[in-house]
Amino acid sequence: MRCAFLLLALAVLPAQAQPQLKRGSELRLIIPESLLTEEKVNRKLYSGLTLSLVFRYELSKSASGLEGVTLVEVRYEPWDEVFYLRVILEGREVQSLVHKDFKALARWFQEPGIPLAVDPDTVIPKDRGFRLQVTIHPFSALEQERARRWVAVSQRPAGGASPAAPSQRPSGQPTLAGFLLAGSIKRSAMLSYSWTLDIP
Amino acid sequence: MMRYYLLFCLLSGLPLTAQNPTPPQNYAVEELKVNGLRYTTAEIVISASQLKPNKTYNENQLQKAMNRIKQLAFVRDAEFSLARGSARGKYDLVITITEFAPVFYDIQTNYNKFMGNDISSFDGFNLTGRWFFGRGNMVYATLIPDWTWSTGNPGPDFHRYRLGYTHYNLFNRGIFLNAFADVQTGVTFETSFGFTIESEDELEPGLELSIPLKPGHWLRLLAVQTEDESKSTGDNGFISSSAGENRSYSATWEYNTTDDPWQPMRGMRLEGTTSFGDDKDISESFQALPDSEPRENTTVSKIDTLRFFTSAEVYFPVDARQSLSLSGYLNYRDSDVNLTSLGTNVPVNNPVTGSLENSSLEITPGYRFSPWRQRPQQKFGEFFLDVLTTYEYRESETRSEGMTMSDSDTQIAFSRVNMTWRNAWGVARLGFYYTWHYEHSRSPGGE
Repeated sequence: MRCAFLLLALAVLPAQAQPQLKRGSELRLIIPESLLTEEKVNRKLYSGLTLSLVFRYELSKSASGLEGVTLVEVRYEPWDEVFYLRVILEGREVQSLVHKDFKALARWFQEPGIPLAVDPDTVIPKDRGFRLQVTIHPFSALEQERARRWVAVSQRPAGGASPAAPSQRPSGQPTLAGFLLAGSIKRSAMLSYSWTLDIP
Repeated sequence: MMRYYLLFCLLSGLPLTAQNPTPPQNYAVEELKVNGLRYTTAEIVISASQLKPNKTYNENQLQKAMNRIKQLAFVRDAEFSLARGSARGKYDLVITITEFAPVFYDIQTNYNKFMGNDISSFDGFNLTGRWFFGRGNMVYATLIPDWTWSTGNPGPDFHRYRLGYTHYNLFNRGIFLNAFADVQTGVTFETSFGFTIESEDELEPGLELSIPLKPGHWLRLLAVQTEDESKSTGDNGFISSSAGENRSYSATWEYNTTDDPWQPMRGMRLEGTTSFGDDKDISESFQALPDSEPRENTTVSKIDTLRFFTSAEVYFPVDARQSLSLSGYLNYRDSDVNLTSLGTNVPVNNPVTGSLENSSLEITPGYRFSPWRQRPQQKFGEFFLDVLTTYEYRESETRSEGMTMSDSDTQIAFSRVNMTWRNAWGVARLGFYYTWHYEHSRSPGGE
């Protein structure tokens, strides 16, 4: 019986190299290249259709409720043979890039890495675990539509004021936009991985 | 409150705002190509996708088309990719499919425990072979032997066979035509109350047309005819023979966005069916009596049945490996019965008319877990664990000559755990049922 549970656990557990957190001027997530070279992901990356990577993270045992969502959308354009990349942080598009090849794309996931919805001034205790869940999925247009609508809503200035930049938001307070966006797209995941990372 | 409203909007697809969003990414698809074909043909796959060359599609439309391909019973997986077309901005859509084997088995055993009583079981096995030919044609044969291998009572052997032909793209409009003939082998068996029943082979030809109305929506028309004959002999000199003929016609509207015909993890299926059945049966009986004339009777029974059926299934993925589901159906059936006795020497009321009305409702919430669904190579097949609980309510009323003869209602609640394993060659299932609530009340004579 014990062997059966062990076999089941081996079948369920992902065999992925672990991402890492990097502290520079801000906290960023370093994603190993193996995540992108994994056969199913790599095939989808070159499909010419959008591939989305959703990073949901939270600080374990955190009383402040520090958590956030970063969405990275990648699309390979067969005509230009380049990768278009968009980063959506807590419901707002914060970066739009073009990578000339897979090498450049994979390098971006390590340097500078994935921006996180964490205020750079936030002091994060090192004895806490940083829980990360990555879900990967072919992003349907319906969900794109929902996401865009949601981005539009979240970017609409409240009472005429301009939308707050990520750094101006209070740290540890995930926006409703990020919460709902992640919840909506999580449903179409084709792969998901979870880790608890050490805080540098 | 706002959070719940927004969540509702996202789940239901309602717009969050009246503001026009950025249009989704569109792709001008010039040509459709199919890779990975081993047994089937490109025309069948393209026809099922309901996509056309030289049209523009967004990612949502392409994903729905991919699910339509996955709904084909012989497709195990489908993936889409774009390649360069003939000019900049134009693309070829490459559909890569993985097929199930052309010979496919389905084996299952279910154990049932009824409110703490003994466990009974039900076994099932069928084997299907498919052969594709021409551009969109398939013939198939299914064997359903009446085999029992667990603890259940074997009973009479009613083996069934089906031979069918399907054309997948009638009139180049994506219409499925399915013509089939079912044969159930005749059996001879003795009942516990002294009768021997011999039934002849039963033939059931049928014709089905599935017409795509718009992507995801289908109109299914089905006509089936059944002919059966049987003879009973009793040890008290009683002989009876019966010959029946039944025709049924149904029209079904179906909306289906599920990602798998057997084990969906996401999407929904809605169905509304209206059917009409016309059943005619002629029974002749003869009983030799020692001190009087033999009793002879010929009865013609005619039953017209009208049925309405609606069902809904929704699969809501929690993540890549888990899914919640909610399914339910509502069924209503009304049968008008007319019995006429002919050439009889027994005094009878002639004709006798009556009706039988029954309705049922079932609701089943469920949870599905597929542990190694996300493994890149599903070399060892797929495994699914399902936990479901069903509540069912049935109501039945019998009337004769305007009088209520009986009415009854039944409430049943049962839970089940199903384990399913499948690979390219077949599917094996093991189920455990436990009925934990059963309430039946019957009022003879009604009001």
